[in-house]
Amino acid sequence: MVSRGRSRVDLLQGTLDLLILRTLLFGPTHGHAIAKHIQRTSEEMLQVETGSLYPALHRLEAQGWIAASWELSEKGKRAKYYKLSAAGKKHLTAEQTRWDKFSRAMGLVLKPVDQEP
Amino acid sequence: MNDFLRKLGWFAQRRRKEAELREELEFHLAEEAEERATNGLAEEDARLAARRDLGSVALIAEDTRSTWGWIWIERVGQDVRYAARMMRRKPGFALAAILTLMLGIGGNTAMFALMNALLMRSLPVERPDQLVRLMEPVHPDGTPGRDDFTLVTHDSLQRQTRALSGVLAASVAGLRPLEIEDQGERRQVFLQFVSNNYFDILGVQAFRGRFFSQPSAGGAREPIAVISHDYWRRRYTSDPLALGARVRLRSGHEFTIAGIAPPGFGGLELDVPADIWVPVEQVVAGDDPDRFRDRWMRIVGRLQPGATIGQAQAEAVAVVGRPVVLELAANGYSGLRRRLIQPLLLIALVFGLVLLITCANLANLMLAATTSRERELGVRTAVGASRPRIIRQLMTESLVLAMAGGLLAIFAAWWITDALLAFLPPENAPALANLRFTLEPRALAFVAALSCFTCLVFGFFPALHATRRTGAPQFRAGAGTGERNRRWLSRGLLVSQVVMCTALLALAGVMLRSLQNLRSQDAGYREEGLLVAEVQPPFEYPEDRRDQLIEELRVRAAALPGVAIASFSHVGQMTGSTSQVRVGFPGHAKPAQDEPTVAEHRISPGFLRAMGTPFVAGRDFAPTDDERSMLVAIVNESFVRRFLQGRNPLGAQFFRDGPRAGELMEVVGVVRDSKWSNLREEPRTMYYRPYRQMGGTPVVRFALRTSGDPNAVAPLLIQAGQGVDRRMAIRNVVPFREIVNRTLVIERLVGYVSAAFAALALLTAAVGLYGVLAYSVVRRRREIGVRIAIGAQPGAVEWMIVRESLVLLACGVALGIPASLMITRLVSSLLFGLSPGDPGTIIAALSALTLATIAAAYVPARRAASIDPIFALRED
Repeated sequence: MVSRGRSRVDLLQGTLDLLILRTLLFGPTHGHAIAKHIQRTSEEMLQVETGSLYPALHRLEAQGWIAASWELSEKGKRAKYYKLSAAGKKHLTAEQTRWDKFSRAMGLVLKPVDQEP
Repeated sequence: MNDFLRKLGWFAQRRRKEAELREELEFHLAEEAEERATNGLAEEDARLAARRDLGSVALIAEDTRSTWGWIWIERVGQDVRYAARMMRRKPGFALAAILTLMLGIGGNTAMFALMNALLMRSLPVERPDQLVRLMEPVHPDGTPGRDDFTLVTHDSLQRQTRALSGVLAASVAGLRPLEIEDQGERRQVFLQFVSNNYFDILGVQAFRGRFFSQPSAGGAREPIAVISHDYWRRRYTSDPLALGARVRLRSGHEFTIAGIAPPGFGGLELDVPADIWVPVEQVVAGDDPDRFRDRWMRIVGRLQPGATIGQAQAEAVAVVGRPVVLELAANGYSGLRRRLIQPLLLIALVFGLVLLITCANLANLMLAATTSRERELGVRTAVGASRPRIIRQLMTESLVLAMAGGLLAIFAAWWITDALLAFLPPENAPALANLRFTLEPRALAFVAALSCFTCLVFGFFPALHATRRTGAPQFRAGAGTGERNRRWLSRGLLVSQVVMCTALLALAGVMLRSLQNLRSQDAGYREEGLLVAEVQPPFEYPEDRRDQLIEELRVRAAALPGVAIASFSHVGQMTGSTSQVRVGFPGHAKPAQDEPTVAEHRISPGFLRAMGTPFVAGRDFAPTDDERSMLVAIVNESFVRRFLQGRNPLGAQFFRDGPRAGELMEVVGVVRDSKWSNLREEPRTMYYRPYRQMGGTPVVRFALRTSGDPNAVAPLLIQAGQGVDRRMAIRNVVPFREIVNRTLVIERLVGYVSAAFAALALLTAAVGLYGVLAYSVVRRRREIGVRIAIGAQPGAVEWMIVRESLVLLACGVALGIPASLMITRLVSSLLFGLSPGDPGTIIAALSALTLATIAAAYVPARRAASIDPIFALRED
């Protein structure tokens, strides 16, 4: 069970965490809204699996990067709202820098200068 | 650490977290469904679609939960549940395992607790490690030196010492309580005379009131006493008015109770916790010449900070003027410690062996059980369980057993301690409070450690073994390559059990036979139908009045129904005490001083017939042998052999030294030798004389020959005593057999305990052998089936199984005999009438083992022989 869970999460781990933290930068919100936001802003390219979303949220909470509290949603139902913590903000900045470096490196390899027109 | 605390915190809120997780996922579903509904789906369809999209909620919940960090605790829970399930499947095994562990761990814990109480526990005083006691050095022949001294030894040490910050004296506690008057009421108490500085040197603070040296509020040098907290509770029901009460000793000294000692403090003597302390200076003043007389004081000092025990000892030798030694005294004084240490070590050895047998046995059964679960373990490995995970799960099973056994062992230890202490004679009753099993941290730590140790021994190695081979072979039917390995381990364990069982049985055998030899020898008396009692007339009466009362009681006792002969002697046979005198004969000036002494017993007429000591010649004393008539004596055969060889003993005359020396006694009778002090003594030179010709003893011992059960006469005797004088003390009214038993405390203790536990070990080993064989027959069904199919006779199959176990037995015995010789040599000082390696006993032990082996092997052998080859071969 452990190994199965891990393999599914592993695949997305770095990226999903980054996406969640980035989404929460706009303000506290609940799990469903996070998933929808990622979906919408990526123009439906990224589908967030519910089976990955909640383990990731709970793990981030356990690490202290996000904090959770129970609040009323805009429709008046109790929902668990997640909020970016100070440590989470720092982590997000670091991760974002890393990701930028990584994607630039990928870009350099995949689109070498000499092939440019 | 922080992380751990966080996990722990979460674990505590686990229920809430679960509910929240459910609610969170519920909310997600609702949102999802609502979104679909706004896209135009019917409400029901929307919910279903959302559900479908989400996948398994349980799985998501599980994955999420795994991030919480207490998964390991859950797994332990799983393992424990699984272990419990396995045990429910084999309740017999689990029960046997827990019971044997309970007795094994419990026995060892009881021994630990006793040793702790006797040896290791410190007195409840300040810095007990600084206390030292004065002793004489051990004699060259090995007997321990005396630890009692005169008061003046204390005085000079206290005056001159520099290495010690102070020296106290405390009277040697007798096993008998003293009678005092407390507020005019007679009480039996344990009283100690102590030096004034007693409590100061021990650093014990008064619970109430004050101690000796503190300035008194009242008049100067008022004699005061201190009572123990326990006595205060018992006698005064914890009434503060006890302070100020007056106690009077029989010597006439009066004391006012001025202080109460703190709870738990009972003085320096483990065997006899004191009730009352009084200053010895009040009884024997500082300049009294009596301070030079009688060695009746223990002397204990406290080391100065920085001084070594060596310095203090050198100083003490110089002060006392002869060789003395100082010993650490943190654990106080105890006569029981000296007596019991050897037998307790022996019993500890027995219990240790029993526990090892239990462990070996369980290891073997676990091994057999895990082997029969090879396939299950193989499947688990194949689907991804790691080896540590499987070992952990197997270990959990043994841990659950060990912990259950350990928990019950606490009760077993309590019970076993009580059973062991029941062997002690009644005069040691005051010590029991100090020796009983108490739930103290040390004992609990010992139980826990022992449980873990046993678990490791019987759980870890089989688990390691069972998981050694992983992968395909388990799926193959029948034996694999590791099979041989496993069988060697299993055989080794069985052999080691046989070795230990042989040793235990031999030990129990020689002890029981020694007891039997001691009992069945001709002791010169008949112990059946004999009632004895200590009789003490009131102390205040003059001597002749007391003797008169004793005689009156004897006459009344003789008339009681069921009493054939009533008699008494001035000291009791088999109590260990005698009067020793030297004798001389007419024609020699004086008794020779270098000759061994002779025992003198003063008896009433009929005593020898009551005891059942046969006459060889002459007559018994008659009531007419009194003060006015000629002095007479009855001698024993040893007396005749030593002094009257070749003469007619009747009519011979002799005299003794001591008071009234020189008066000639004439021999009127000769009796057979009899054991007087204990059953081990060589025949002693003894003579008897009429009590009427030399009376005046504070306590005599009655001996009543009864026609029926002696116990039936006991209440009648006590009644008769009350009839003679209301203040007549009649104590220890017991059948003589009981008195003899009290001389055999150590032999009976070691004998019965080792016999009981040897039987337990034998049973354990037999059940273990049965279990291992039964498993092996199940595993070898196919092989045995093939044998039967190709024509093996049932008898041959049975013999094959039995033979295997007999070969193991033979190996075990080959090692067990030297082990038995070793262990029985340890008890050689307790043996009687046989040598340590007594062949008869060892043969008996081997027969018991062989019988047990055959009995254990027979059922599996029968089962093997009745295997139906058709079914056996079709199964796989």
